[in-house]
Amino acid sequence: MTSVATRPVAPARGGVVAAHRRRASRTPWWVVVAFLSPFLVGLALFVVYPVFATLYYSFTNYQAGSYLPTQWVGFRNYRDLFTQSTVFWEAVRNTLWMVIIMVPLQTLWAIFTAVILTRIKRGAVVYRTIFFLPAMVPIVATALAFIVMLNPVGPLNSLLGHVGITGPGWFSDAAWAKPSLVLMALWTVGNVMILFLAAMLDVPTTLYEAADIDGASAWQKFWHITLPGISPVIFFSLLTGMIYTFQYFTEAFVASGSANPVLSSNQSIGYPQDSLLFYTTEIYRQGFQYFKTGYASAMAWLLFVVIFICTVIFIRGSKRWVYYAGATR
Amino acid sequence: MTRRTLLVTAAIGAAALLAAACTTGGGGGGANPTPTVATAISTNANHAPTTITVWTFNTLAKEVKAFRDDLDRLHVKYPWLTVKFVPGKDDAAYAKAVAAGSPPDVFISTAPDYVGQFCHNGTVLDMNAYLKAAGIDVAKTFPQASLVYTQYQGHQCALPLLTDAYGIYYNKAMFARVGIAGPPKTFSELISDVKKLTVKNPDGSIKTFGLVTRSDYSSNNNIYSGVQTDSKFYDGQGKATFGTDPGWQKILELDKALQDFYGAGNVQKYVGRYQPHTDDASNPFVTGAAAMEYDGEWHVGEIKDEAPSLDYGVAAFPVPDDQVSRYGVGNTQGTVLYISSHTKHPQEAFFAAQQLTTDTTFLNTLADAVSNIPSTFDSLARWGQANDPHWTQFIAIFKNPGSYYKELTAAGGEDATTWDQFKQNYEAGKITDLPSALDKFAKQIDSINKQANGR
Repeated sequence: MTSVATRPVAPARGGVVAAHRRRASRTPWWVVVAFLSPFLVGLALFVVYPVFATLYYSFTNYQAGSYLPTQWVGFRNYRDLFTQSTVFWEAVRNTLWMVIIMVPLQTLWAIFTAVILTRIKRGAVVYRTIFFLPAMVPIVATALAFIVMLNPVGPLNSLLGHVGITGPGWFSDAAWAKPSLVLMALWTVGNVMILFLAAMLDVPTTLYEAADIDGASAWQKFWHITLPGISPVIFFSLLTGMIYTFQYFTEAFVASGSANPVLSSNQSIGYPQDSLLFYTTEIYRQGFQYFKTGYASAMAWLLFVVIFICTVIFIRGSKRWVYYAGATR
Repeated sequence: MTRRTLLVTAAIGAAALLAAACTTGGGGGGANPTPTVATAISTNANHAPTTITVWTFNTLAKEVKAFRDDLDRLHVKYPWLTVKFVPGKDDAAYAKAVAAGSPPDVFISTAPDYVGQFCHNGTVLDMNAYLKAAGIDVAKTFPQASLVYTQYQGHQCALPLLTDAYGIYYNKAMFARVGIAGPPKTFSELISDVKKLTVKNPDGSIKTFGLVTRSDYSSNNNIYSGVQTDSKFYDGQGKATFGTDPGWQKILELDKALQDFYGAGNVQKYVGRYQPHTDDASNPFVTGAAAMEYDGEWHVGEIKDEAPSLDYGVAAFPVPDDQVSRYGVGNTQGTVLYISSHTKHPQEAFFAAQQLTTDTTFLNTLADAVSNIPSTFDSLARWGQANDPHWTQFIAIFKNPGSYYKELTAAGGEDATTWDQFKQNYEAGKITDLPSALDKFAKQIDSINKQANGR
């Protein structure tokens, strides 16, 4: 008989930690799942199920509110998108217009305002707050404010009238409706601007000092030091802006509805003359005004695929021009 | 197949099955479920206490009050019936409630756009059996113009609850000033009168418009519903007629002639400026910026409040020169009442619907409150405003056998909305070859209907 087993040996300190780790790793899986269950249930019900449900619907003729049996139609909804609908292409054109025009303009404007703010020495905090404030206003409130300001007989056109300029119809004129939305987007650029400001202030001053010694001009310093320094934020701004604009909805929906309050909601979508008909507002109309849930689901999945492909291309392309300080390339 | 692939496939399959299981809103049943036993509740009989839910689109305080007052009276008269009244609900909210399996028993919609779709899809009850059991002959109760937009392929899927008729309002003083004796009856007279009534400023802008007909302004889209040129959206085979009926081209050419006269820029300014004010005191007809306007009958009530001293007349919208015998027709439509097909209380819901749509006192009270036309023969005969010269004209348009609303289809409001888009593109100058564009448009509408019918 040995007495080894009866003689407790004080474990080393490291041994205690190891024992705790082993105990932690032996926590039953169902306890982990139980603690995660509120999140998992929410995820399953409100994300996973709807996502797969719309995928299924996109291959059916399902209509919300209909008691007709739902039929499997294969790729018919996807085919009809491209071959049967003229408004689909109008929505695609308008959405691409916004992605190509509005997103870069927003980024440029945010960079410009950030540069101005870095130059201000007195009262910088006040100016930063003022420039950021519009970003805190809810989108619907912003849209309504712009609709009032840009009314054909509203304050802005009145002001223009005083200096001899006849103002356009803004949201009620098909030619000016999208530029009006761009104007609104520029006003609310504070979120991105604050990121650019932080990034600019983070560029090492030693680089500017070295450039000064080399006799670089202000433009050369901006082009060769500031821009590479803030390129990750430019990348972020363009990428998130692109994804957001592909799904652009609220501003257009409010602007169309308010520009023509007498029309019913399905008639006002895209008003005037479909100039504000965007991809997601068309999804809304198909799904919630015409109740063509299957067709709208196909549109939504197509949008997802397009955004996914564009995102992958954009991320891969960014390796050529985005500079990460301290990262190996 | 790897284990991971197997798991992913199983997860997708399970999700698809789950989605399929939850697809049809509220279960099967097929379209237009006709009740097996439809009996009417006698007004004298005792009945087990029942609560039904009524949704309505109305939001204006005076309209909601009129409903509540009437439903309170209904409860006093029939204590067993309690109505939970919910205002501010539109067709989209209703369809979502049906999809969720909890629709209201009764739904009152602002327009008949979806009668065809809801009827085709079995969303709402075909009330024919209940009407028969209650001894209501719809042809003797409601004028024909309102039956056109509440029946779909023989099914009475909705009942009219007040109605709208459209015509032109004209300023008598302005007409007299330029020597015009009465409202225009033909398209030629309209163009001629507009030219006489329009007053231009020295800089080319317009001080007073004769009549702006741009389709997206105010209620103008109803000018183009086909009734003015005796055009129907569909022929006997259900095919769109835009490419074959010359009436569509005629009405669009009238619009273009007037727009060319004013100048598209001037029309744009007018629409942009006055669109938000079509129903308030800044309305151009009320302020004198327009000598005529096209609108529904409710504007009589608005003018009474906003400009009681305005001396104006009401008339039907003109017809083509070669159809002058049809003068007096107009677009008609109105509020419609549905009963959900899967309601647990079909008899009680129909009883409430019957009271709301046929009770003369209620209809006339509501008509006064919202300035609409009562929708039964009896309520029309007993309405206190029926002899008012403004209302007389609208009632005449409503009763005219040539007045109608466009045909209902399983596509709901999509055909009319697509037509609106076509008109706007035409007015914007995007369409140069109108006959060819109309022909192509007809095919587009046929495709929409084909899709809606599941073919």
